[in-house]
Amino acid sequence: VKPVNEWVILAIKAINGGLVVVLFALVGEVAKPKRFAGIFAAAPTVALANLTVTALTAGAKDFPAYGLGMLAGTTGFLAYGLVCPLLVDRLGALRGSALSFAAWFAAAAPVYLVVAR
Amino acid sequence: MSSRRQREPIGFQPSKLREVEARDLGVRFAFGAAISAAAALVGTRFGPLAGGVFLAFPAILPAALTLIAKKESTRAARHDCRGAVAGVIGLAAFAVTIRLLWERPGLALPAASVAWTIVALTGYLVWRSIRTAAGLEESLPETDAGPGSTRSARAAQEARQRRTRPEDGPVDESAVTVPS
Repeated sequence: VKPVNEWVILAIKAINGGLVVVLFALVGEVAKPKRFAGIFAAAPTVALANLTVTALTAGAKDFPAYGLGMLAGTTGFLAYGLVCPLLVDRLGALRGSALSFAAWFAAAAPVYLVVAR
Repeated sequence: MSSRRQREPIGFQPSKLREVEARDLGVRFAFGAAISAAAALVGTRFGPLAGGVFLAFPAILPAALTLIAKKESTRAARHDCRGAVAGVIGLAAFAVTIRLLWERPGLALPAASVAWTIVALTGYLVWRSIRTAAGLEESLPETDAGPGSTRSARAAQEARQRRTRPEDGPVDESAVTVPS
């Protein structure tokens, strides 16, 4: 069996990621109240899209490492979620949410460095 | 009259799907595809541990929040952001589940998705109950619906108050008018 080209897998992951994000965005659009809808903004969309393709093409042997990395990213996401409302209040939605990425990085990087040892 | 604010019930309004613009979905698709590709590239180049970090990257939030702020209000965007925290707790449950069930790949992802749903919903409900108990839960459903809706919420509230006064007798809901 000829192995699937790495770039083809990357393209499939990208399209799959876009589709899963749109699906959860639609669920978030119809959900109320707004704070409840916010849950779907932190759905594991990219993880589901990527790991499904990974499981089908390469198996699940790397799942423990992906899961550990995700925990580091989740720490960053939590920091993002706490800082974001404050910055959105002061700077508006686009600038506030974009600047909050700094909080994600500041929290995720140290955790990643610790678990990567 | 109770000093506790009335909380909006949790639910879904499928009719809102008609208001979704294709362009908004296109923006979200583009962000989702980009971060998915980026996470896959990082995983390929630097290993699954580094790739995993980017599987929990809030890449689509700026696009989502900007669209919400444009269509509704900055307040609605802020609420969406706060709600995301409950989803993040669920994300941790997702990560732990795939770590624990990796030897059963057919089960790992469905079980992780169920874990995310349960933990995120529970987290949201607990947080909402705490806010309600503290008298912080807001607000009437209409207040997030756009310009003019606060007036309609106020009119409905006044009608409810009138109905609770026995000397006024029953209130005809159809007679309630909202000032334009």
